[in-house]
Amino acid sequence: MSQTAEYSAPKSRAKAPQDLRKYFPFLVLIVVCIAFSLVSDQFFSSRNLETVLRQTAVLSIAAMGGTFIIMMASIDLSVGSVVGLAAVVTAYFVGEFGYAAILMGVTVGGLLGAVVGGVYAKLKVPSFIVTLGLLVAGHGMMLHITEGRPIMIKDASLRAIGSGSVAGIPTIVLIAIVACAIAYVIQKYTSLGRSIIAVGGGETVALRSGIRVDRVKIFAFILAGIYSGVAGVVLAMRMGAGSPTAGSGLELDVIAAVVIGGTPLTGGMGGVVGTLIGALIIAILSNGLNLAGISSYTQLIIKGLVLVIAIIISIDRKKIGIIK
Amino acid sequence: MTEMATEQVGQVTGKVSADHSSLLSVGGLDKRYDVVHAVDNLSFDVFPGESVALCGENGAGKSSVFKILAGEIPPSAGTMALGGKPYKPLSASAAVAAGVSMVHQEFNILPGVTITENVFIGRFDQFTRFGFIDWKAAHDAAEVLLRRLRLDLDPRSLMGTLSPSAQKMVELARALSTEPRILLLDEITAALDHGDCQTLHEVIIDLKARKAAVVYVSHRLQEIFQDCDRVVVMKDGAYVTTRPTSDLTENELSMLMVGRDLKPTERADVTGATKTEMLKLSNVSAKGFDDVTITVAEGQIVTIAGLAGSGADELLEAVFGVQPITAGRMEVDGKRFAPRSIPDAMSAGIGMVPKERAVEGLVEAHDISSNVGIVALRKNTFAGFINPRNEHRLAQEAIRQFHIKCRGPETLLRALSGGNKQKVLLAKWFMTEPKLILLNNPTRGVDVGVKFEIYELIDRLRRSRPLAILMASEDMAEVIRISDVVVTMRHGQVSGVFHGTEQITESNLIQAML
Repeated sequence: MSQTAEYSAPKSRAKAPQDLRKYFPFLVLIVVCIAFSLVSDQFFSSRNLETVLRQTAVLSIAAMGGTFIIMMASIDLSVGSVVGLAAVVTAYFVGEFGYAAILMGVTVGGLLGAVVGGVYAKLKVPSFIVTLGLLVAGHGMMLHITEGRPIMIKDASLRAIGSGSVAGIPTIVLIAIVACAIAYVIQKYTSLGRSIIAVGGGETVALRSGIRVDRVKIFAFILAGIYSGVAGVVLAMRMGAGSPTAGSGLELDVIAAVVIGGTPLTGGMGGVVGTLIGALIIAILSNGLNLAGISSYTQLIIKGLVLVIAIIISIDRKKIGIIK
Repeated sequence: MTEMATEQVGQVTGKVSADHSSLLSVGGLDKRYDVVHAVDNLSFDVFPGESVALCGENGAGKSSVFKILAGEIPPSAGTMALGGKPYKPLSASAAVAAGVSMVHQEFNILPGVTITENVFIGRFDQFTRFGFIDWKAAHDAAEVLLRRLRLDLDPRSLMGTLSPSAQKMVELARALSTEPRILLLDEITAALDHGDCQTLHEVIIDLKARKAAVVYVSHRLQEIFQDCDRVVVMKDGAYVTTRPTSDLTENELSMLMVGRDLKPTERADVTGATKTEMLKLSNVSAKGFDDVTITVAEGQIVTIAGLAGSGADELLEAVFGVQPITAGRMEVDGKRFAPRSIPDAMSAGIGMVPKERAVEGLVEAHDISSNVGIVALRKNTFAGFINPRNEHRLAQEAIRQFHIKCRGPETLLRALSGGNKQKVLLAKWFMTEPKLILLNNPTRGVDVGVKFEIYELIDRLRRSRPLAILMASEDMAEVIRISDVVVTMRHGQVSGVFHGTEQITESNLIQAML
């Protein structure tokens, strides 16, 4: 009997096509950058790059949370409202409580995540529905708090964070970098991150392997809520105000960033590094199309096409039987 | 079809029609997937009124042959003739139209619609009047088929409400409703309970009487000897031999399939009294079983044997903390044990290899490392953080100890053969070093060769470390071969306890189970 396992080093030639596909989002990013630098000589100016990074900060932070949810094969449609609420709450309380308002904004995100996670995991309501409910209800809450008008942040130091820089790098970009790094550590080196991927890959398998699935789901939504909260605070600092409309539509950009970054909606694989690249692609696309003088109407059409085409090229269709 | 293709088929017919009596004639069939040679120049005939088993280990090419016959994939080369006419199905529906129907190993059902819709899916034209479906006629036709299969079910019931066995029988009804001349059955009995297996046996006899033919794939050799007239043996895609079942014994057939001699594992006959009692159940009841008292000692393999619905599955689930017990007392390693969840059971040193590998056992899209590491997540952490390097090392160790054929820990599960997947599943649990392991059909859907390898592994593990094994199995040969003690169950109650070679015999067990 041949008892020896056919075992060789993991790096092998046959794996190449799969690996290439993994780098696809990165290739798109490079292609987009090259294309725009040909169209506009302003594109590669340091001022413009700073603008792009500032614009990416909020989306990339929110999309970190979204990645965990989608890796778990759930969906979060409430991002726009939760980010908006966190921004509004921060702006509302900053006059009274100072910097503690930041913590309040983040806490609001975490609490809403706990509620969503609880209803989803314990009452078995699909995440699509729970978060859709929160998207709508959250918008109403924002309008109540703000009475429909933006709340200006009068605290100059907080606004300074939004527009300032540390060592030449915009402060909010630094915050985003730290947020992404933490997300990477959670994904790769914590039990929670690995459990989230396991639940997305096969919930029953995870359950039978001793993973407390309900708890993982709730913690994942709390985590996503906290990321939305941080994104909301950054948004408020960047705009110098908490506006009831500032976050609207962000949930779709988050999903687009995650999916372009290589995490499929069916969950179980992907990760936050891809999402960061996905967020950059989306931001650069807006920025570049602006520089190229393309009308905002046409921009929407192009963005929609890019999303679908990116997926057509990047996914491995041979392995997919049925897609819904 | 192009003229050239027709001409080709014409030539072929000339060759195969030499044998006028054969219903299905396969000549020089070949199938390659990239570098894999799945079917290698296979030829065989099937005659009207007979039942033929296609035998071979996992990966021998049986599934590919079935898929080609059922029109699901085209062959790379070779010819087929059905009733003397060239047979070249371009799709599954073309195969059905020509008279070849297949029941798949996997479930192919729509759980949210009625039995009738599941039976006649895609073929409702036969019930239309003025372009609209006559539902009464359709339900009536389905009812007739259900009767024929001895299923006392309302054809209007939703498919999802049926037991797995009944669902599989409805799939059989779907195949029978097409009036097949050739019926292909791929591992169908794996899903059937005892009664439905009997019905299937009658259906096969009936089909043979109608001069149709059955081509059968099953890992249960007993069924092959019961239901089939001849066996066609394949190994690594190639034809080995064709024999009448009356000329063979089960052992001889196994040897033909594996290509080498298989030696049975020696019985340990560890007497429970001399070793520590690892698990002790005293008058335990829970949903599905009642008043069960058993003990499993270190080094011992105790097997629960019973027909579907006997309560064996539920008993294992209760010990694993899936179902709470309603009465009685459980002890693990001398301590009182009342698990409220799977993590509770795991903390007490219990692991469980589940029955449904694809649903409960492994994540196909993940690699070996993640699959093995998933249960260790709890042990392998420090303050919530894990070390991927440890996980990698664990996976390498699993690959070595369990002889998993793969490129390395990064190999995706779906790239492995069924037998190797099963070894990963076993490794995943044994690597947690449990004191007690629950094995629910540990060699389900695995071919003979790997089966024996798994028996040897289990045997070696229980001798090399403190380990008690509680197993449930529907495979009678397996139960007899590796158990030290067999506890039979019937309708949720213990119906017999058998110790050692003398008591553990097929007739004793069957008597106690029925």
